[in-house]
Amino acid sequence: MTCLSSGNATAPGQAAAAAFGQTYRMLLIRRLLLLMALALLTAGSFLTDLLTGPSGLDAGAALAGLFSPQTLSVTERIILWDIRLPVALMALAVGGCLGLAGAETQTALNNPLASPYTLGISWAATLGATLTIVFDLAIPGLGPALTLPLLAFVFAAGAGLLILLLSHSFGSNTETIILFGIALLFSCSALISLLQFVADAEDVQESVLWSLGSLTRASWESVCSVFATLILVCGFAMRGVWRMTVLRGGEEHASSIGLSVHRLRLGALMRASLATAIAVSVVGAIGFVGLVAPHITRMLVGEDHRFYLPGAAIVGAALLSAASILSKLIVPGVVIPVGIVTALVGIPVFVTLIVLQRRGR
Amino acid sequence: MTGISLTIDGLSCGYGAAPVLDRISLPACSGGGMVAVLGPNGSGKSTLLKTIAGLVRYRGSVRVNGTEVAGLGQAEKLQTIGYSPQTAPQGSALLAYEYAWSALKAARPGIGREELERRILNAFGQLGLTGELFRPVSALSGGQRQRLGFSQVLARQPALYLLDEPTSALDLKWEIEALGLMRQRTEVDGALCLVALHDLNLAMRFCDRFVLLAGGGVLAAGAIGAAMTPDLLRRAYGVEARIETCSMGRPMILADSITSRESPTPDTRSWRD
Repeated sequence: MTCLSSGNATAPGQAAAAAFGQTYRMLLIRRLLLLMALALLTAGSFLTDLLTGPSGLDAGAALAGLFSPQTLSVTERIILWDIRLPVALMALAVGGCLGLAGAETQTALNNPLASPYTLGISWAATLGATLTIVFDLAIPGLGPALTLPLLAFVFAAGAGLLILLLSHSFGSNTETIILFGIALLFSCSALISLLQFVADAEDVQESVLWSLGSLTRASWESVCSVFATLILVCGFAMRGVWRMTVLRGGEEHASSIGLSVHRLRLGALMRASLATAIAVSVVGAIGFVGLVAPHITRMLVGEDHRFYLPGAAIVGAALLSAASILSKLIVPGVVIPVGIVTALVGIPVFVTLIVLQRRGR
Repeated sequence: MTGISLTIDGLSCGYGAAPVLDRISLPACSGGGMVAVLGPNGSGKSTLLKTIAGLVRYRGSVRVNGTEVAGLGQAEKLQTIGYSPQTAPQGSALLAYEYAWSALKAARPGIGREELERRILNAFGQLGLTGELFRPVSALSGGQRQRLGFSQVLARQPALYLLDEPTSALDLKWEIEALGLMRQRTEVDGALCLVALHDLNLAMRFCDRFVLLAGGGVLAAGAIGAAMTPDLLRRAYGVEARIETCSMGRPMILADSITSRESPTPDTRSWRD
């Protein structure tokens, strides 16, 4: 038997440790740089988003107007400051929320196909929003403006809990959870259609816009509320970041070192539901971003959640911002609801992911 | 780290209505030895280890250093007990080092960064994983993943090791290395190790004592060289086996044929030592 020394570090051992330390620090620096590059890319996308649009305001004038608003006419100033800027910021905030929510659900359910959209959480939130619109619901003391996001969250959290409950009692393998999610998605979608059928014309229009997912209703207030949610959820997520990383080793390993997997999952799904609900309550159901952003991030910075979670938020922001640009360019002069753009791009990507996963097994 | 003791008295445990293990008792085990947990599939080896690790609800008594496991605080439990599950860490984009680091960080938050790093590098070195430090877990082979799972428990340096089939995916060399390493920990550090094994010859070679589980109880227990008999193997596994001495003087178990398909029943629940 080979005799192995334990404990006492020898001179070559120290040299190896030093070399290791250096390699690891380089890796961390590379990841940080990658995150910064992603952030820069997102900023570039944001700027492009700001400078494109159906109105006559050209890019040069818009850029100048950003730094000195007095150079613009009143109309141009309104277009830039009250329409384009909130929309472009909203794309970042909502994309960030969805990317983060997607990353959390994929880790929590140990499932690369999980996202707020594929699990039906987005649709449950949309159902909550539609109910508020159609029945003009208002919780006493809160008013309709706050009732809508609150009800959207209650429904989203309910959907998250339902998925958790079902996966707990029927086993949490990939296919089962996605099947539950799709069942939930269709049920919510059918209920939304039913509500739209009984609602009056005005409510129907508002509700349809909701289910398409559109950034155009962004206001400064809603931008602030979504950003605040993103920061809040990100803060909570980063507090338990080690435990989420451990979860990637598998459920059995996480519980073998004393982690309560159920509590971790519940926490992650509640954070994801909150982020999704607030995003959906402002812009409606937007797919693809929450599903794909975590995959892109995983390829770029790995799954150490210290990098993975913020990375997914940044990538999500970049994706939705790019989709927002695309939504203005597809048909000149018309802004297509961004949810349609993400769905068009998202369906082929979703199918590719399923195929790749099958092949990988 | 010396003075670890484990007593199990009237223990019943399991997951559903029917217990997997029913009122089993083992006298005190103390540090400095390796105990093989043996038995056919489904005899409760994993359940016993999980129960001692405090992961399964139980009736009766499981005491580690005189304290009931159910009453131990999380931090204390993780400091004393290192349980390594049967399954290796699943494939992910996590790097091998990140897996070990996050696991150790979650299990032992009190240890400083440099000490964590030193312990992981040491464990990786001992298990031949140094070359895999920066490879994603999904790119590791089955044996490498199993060693990775084991490295994390080694790095924790508990007083009581509970290893559930730590060698099931390892080749000949790493079987010997891994169990030899464990043997060394028990001899040098005075740790106690309970290891569930299917390979009886590995158990005979590396362990001092054994517990043979079958039919929900303890079929036999004792010093592995003296108390292991062909009759016990017949009753536990339903195989005709010989125990012969090899050219190096070590006892070897050779299974020849299957005896019966009846499920064995334990006729003794006492620990002979």
